[in-house]
Amino acid sequence: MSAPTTEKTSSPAALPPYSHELDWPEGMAPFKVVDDGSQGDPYAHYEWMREHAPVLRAYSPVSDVWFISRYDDVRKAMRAPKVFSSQVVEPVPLTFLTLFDAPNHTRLRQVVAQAFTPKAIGRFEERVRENAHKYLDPMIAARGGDAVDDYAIPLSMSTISALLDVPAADFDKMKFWSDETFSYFGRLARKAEGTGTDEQSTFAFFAYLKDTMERLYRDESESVGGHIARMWKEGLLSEKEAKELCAFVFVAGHDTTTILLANAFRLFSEHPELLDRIRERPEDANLFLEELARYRGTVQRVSRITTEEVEVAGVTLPAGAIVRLLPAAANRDSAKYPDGEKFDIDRNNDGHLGFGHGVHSCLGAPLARLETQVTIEILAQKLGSLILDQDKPIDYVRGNNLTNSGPEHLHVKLEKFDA
Amino acid sequence: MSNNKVTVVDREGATHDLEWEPDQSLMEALRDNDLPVLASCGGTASCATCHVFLEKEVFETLGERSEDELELLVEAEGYQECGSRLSCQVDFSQNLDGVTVTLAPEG
Repeated sequence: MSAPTTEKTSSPAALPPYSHELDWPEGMAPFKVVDDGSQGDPYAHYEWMREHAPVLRAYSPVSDVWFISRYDDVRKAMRAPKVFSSQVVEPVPLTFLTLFDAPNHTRLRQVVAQAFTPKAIGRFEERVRENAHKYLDPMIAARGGDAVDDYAIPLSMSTISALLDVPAADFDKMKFWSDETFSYFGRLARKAEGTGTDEQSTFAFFAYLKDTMERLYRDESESVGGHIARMWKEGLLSEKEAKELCAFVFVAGHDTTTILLANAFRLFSEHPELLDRIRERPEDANLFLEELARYRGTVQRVSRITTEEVEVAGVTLPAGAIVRLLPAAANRDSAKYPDGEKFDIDRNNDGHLGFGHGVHSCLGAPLARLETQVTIEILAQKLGSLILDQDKPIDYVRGNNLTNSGPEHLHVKLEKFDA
Repeated sequence: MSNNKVTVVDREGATHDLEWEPDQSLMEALRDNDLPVLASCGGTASCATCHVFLEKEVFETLGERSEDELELLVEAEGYQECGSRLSCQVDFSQNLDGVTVTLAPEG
């Protein structure tokens, strides 16, 4: 069977074959809308899709889903929000910025944007650095651990909690609520399968955030949470919008960064010479960070719906098509980045989509960059060796929406650097 | 290198005087002085939320707009052929001391 490559379709009715009808390489399961465990580390799929099915049509019981994987096509779609709309569910069920087009996206993003500028985020650098040491030192003393549970989650949660002024004494509870809220969001936004408890947990989280905002308002907190609370009390946001926006900042602010931080550990294990290099030249941490975001960025699937018929890579998508842009696939496109499957901190990775592109670019990118760069510097400064624990293979995020993909657990063995 | 002085006319017509530092793009100068410039994409010429109008004589002293910039501007609210710029694409230059910048309407 031939794959739907760039050959132009003769009419809008000539739809390409479904993913499950294509001749995938032996041992590679057809790419699916809902992961069955074969897409935790999806880069082999992406490589094949870019080559053979850059616009892949996948079957789902609700409607077809179109996956777009080449750099030029993903970038172009991200620059065209009027054609590739983010309002995939109407009416928008949750005040999550990723679900809105202008003008509501502009209005709501403006509420929180000033807290996430590089200048505003720069004020948190010392705190992030202190916490990075605080969480890494016990791991080094124990000569290893889980880079996710022992380091990435505590660091990203403590940072976003400080920014919002939400207490994070109980990481387990916050992590649970956050994951459940993300699952609920996936269910509403993508009709993904839920957890069975996600709605109940999400509303418990919102109630907690409402109480927190009442306190922040009384205390005149200067935090993002305090700012959202004042917008609510002054009538510029409804209670629903305020609670949900707060939850969005929390969920989006730690989950994606957690994975990026864990992937920094992974890349050091695959390129041990970079520990020495960055220890000697800490300024190169920034090169590592940008290449990490290109090579193993967190966000895999970006949801859009077409507002009109549009041609992509020679395939005609109808109006109303459910689309998933695949920025992590695009980032390894060798047509844009020669030898794109290779991690090389000295390459020119300008224009990578690791933090998105266009009006929906990652709001928290300056914060994610800060946390990750500090982590890269400190790992290099403190470690003589970082290897994966061969007895405990990487456990990948398996959620039912797979917006994000990466390690859920990443066990490492660490040796302190001994000058 | 000393800072530039810039006068900004906001969307309500009010004026603001601010300092533009040499290591900032015009967008960063606006945003870091708390003007309501969303700059969603962070300065990668991919979203048009930092759209401004420059005076024609100032506009003409700047180089050509890139294809990426122009593609977004022509779709933006209130586009002016000889005045519209994405402020993230306007680098500091001492020639721009004393200019007036008008914030474009939000799209």
